[in-house]
Amino acid sequence: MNIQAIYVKSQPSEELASPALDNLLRDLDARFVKTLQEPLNAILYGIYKAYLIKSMGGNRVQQAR
Amino acid sequence: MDTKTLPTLPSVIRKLNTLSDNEKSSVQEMAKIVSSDQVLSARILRLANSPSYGFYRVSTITNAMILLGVNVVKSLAIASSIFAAMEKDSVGLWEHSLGVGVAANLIARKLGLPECEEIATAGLLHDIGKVLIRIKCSDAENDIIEFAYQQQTFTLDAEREIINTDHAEVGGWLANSWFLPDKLIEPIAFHHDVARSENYRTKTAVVHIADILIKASGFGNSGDNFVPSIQQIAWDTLQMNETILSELVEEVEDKLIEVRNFCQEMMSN
Repeated sequence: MNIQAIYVKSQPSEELASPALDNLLRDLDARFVKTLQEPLNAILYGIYKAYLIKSMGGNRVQQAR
Repeated sequence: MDTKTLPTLPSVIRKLNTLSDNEKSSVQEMAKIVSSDQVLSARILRLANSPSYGFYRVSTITNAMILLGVNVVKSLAIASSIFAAMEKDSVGLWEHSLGVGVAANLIARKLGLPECEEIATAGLLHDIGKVLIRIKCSDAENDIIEFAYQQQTFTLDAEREIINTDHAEVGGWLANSWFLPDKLIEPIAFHHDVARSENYRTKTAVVHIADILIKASGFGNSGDNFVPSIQQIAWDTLQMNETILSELVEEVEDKLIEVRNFCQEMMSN
């Protein structure tokens, strides 16, 4: 058997990742809902949000959108 | 609360306390006492190899005492009944406690603080008051959960409303009744009110920040749905800044993968 090429039909991984990231960010918002207005908590919220976006490949997701 | 049936100290621990109070006692003598209780030894070794202290491989009680310190091994031994209750009936709280132990250790190391293992132990034990409330006042605990949910408030406020005290105070009181050292009692009793910690404020501040990091991460289940306020006094005491906090978040999140695996391993055994 002489296979020349294999084609895989799928969605780009960024598109698959985005709903999961949206859910994680929604959960994060819910956890911080009572203390987000406080400066130190706002810093921590920003760090976690950036971390989640980075760890889920979210920069590419947002660029793709 | 029924105070007559509090988790009591096993005779092994009483002997250990007597030995550790004597400056002439050797680590080997103390390890021999602990090793005479196989169940207790196995539990201590499992905790000593948990991600909270995951920087060592500990195979004997003597090793644990040398690497983690007599205070840490003694505290783990004393609290083993509480840990057993958590593992069995409060998995989410157990995961949260392990997570706070890990985060406290990482914070202490990052800031170059002494006694990192003791700080990790304070993190591991910080919510023992919640377990005691669950064991001794299960009806009140249901009311606390209901109140916190209905009012969309913190568990701490719900506890004060329903039982006129809170888990930090109960935990501090239990730790005191077990004769744990003050350097562990203060972080347990004041992790929600760092300003009240007078003698071990740095350790208390570490546990306060570690608790908040794990709640912010959403890891485990402390019973609280909301991230509490970071207290300015804790931030200032540790000379925290955004860069350090950002690095800590990444390190803690990496380590939480190990905690998750550790918990799953324990559940499957």
